[in-house]
Amino acid sequence: METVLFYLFAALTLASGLMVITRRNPVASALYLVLCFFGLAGIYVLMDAYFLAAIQIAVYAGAIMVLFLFVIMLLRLEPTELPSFMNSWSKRLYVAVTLVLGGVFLGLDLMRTVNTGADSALTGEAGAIADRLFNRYLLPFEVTALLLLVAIVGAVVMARRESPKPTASMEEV
Amino acid sequence: MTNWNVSLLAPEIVLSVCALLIMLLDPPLRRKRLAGFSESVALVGFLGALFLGLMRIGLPVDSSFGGFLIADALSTYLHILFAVIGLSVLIMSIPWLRRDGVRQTEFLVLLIFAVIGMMIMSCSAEMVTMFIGLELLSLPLYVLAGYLRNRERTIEASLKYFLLGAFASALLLMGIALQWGTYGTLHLSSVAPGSGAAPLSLPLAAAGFWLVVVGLGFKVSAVPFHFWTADVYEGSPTPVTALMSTGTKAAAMAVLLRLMSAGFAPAAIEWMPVLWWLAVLTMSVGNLMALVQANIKRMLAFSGIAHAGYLLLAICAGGTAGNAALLFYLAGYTVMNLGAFAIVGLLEGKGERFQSIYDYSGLAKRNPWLAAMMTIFLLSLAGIPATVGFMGKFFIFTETLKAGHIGLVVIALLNSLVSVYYYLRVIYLMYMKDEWGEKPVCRVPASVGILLAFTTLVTLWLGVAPNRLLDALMAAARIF
Repeated sequence: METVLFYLFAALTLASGLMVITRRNPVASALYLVLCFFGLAGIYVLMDAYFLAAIQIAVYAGAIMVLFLFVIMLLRLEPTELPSFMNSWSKRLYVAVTLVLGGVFLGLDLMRTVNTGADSALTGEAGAIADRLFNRYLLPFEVTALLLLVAIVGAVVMARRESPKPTASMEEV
Repeated sequence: MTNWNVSLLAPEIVLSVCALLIMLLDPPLRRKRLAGFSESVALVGFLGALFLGLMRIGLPVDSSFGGFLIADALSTYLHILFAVIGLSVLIMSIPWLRRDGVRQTEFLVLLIFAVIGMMIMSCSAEMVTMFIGLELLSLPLYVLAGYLRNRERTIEASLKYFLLGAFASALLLMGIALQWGTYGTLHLSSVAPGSGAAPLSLPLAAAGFWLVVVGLGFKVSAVPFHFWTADVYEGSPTPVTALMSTGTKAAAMAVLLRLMSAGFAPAAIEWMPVLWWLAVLTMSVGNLMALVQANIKRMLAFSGIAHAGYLLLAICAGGTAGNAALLFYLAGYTVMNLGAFAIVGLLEGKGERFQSIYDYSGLAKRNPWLAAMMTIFLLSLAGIPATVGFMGKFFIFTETLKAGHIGLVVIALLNSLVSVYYYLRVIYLMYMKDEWGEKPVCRVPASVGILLAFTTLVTLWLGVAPNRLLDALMAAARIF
């Protein structure tokens, strides 16, 4: 039962992930991303990480995606041709890399080794996760705060309109 | 009990505080027309970080945050190097910001954060912190690469850098996850647990390891993963290019060094052949492609790829002496590249118009001092004796030879010969050719003048008397 559910959720995640990057319409992409997050949450539940699953739904699928949709709708992006920066050769390369990696992982899965790295924080308790965050992983946690700050500054820089001759395509980058 | 010695993070903290100060105080002060506030704060920050780094020299190895942070001689050395890089890029960028009338507050903040990311990378003892440090370094660079948003080329550079960088980060993260899945630990020194088994014997672990190597290979622009380099270097503002070509490369190389000579040293027999080919390809493709470039920044980009190849050579050599050679070469590479990019930044003129190597024709008559210094940097990059480039190559090649990779050294020597051609071509143009069209006279701001004098002196000094630095680096090269 659990195995069946796992493959179900994994297939859901992968398929919707694929849809996210192939849709022309940004709204459709965003909605598929929500679906992708739901699939991930399902996998978390199967790992007994209930708290993470709840967070995944509430924060990612809920709050963040709503913001995404807001932004997309406010900008009124038309499903247009995005400027293609990659030639077809490198596109093919990326498809090839993806396929090779997928094949490698499928092969590895068949000769799976025991996972020795199970972390007891995955018991579903919020307390255990907080303990990991503020004890063992305090340093990366704090550096992540800087990372988020940089992301905000970067987003502001990229979104600012100050170029003397703004062209339509640049404002969306 | 866990040790929370925050003082080991002092340079990072000082820089963070400076970045926050700039962000908080610049807008109100700007209204009062208090010019130069942000630059001064950034300057103070980098000088403070440099000072704190220098203070740590000679202190015993210490670790903090439950072993997540390691303060050994290697991290001290890299902190100093990154502080110098930050300082130099700051000095280079101020005239550029004024010249092209670019908003500077965010530029300085992002520059500081990128340097903090490098520092975090250099002192992290396990992969999660290392990864977040890498992102903290990459994210500002994606933005800085496209900072001039009204220019088509920089937008393209930024977008390309962002997409390929994100791709590399994804691979790296996947590799880290697989490592965690097999071993349950991400500490760089003990990724392979003391089980006695060869670290890469498990297929899952091997896949994880190679993904990490590929991810880092993108960042150092080793050859099968170098596509982005030339376009991004050409399209980015020149000070940003200088930061990318020195800082990013040094940070990723340091992590690779820690990984290869600590946790995965027992598996050397498995990764050595791959690294061998990686080094050969990186050197050869870099040098051959540099031959046909007419844009000076593209040429320096491919020359940077070739130099990454020489650095990989040092990882193949391994051992304490090999690591010391690598660290020495990093210092030399950083100094000469910073100098060369500073001159490129000065000569390109408003709007970065003069970037062709033919724009350097007759420079010796126009700006004899600049031409002389550019000559020194180029000769050093080519590895001519009495420069740091020669000494660095000499140490790396000797150690590689001692490690028994004769073929590798022969290929590297041939590569060095090839590289002489394209460096000398620029020198030939500067001295033997007449001016190509009318060029504005290049005025050198005092700050950049000091930077150029400093880099020139270090290039020559380390080329003549390298021993003191090399001895100091022997301590840094013992990696746990």
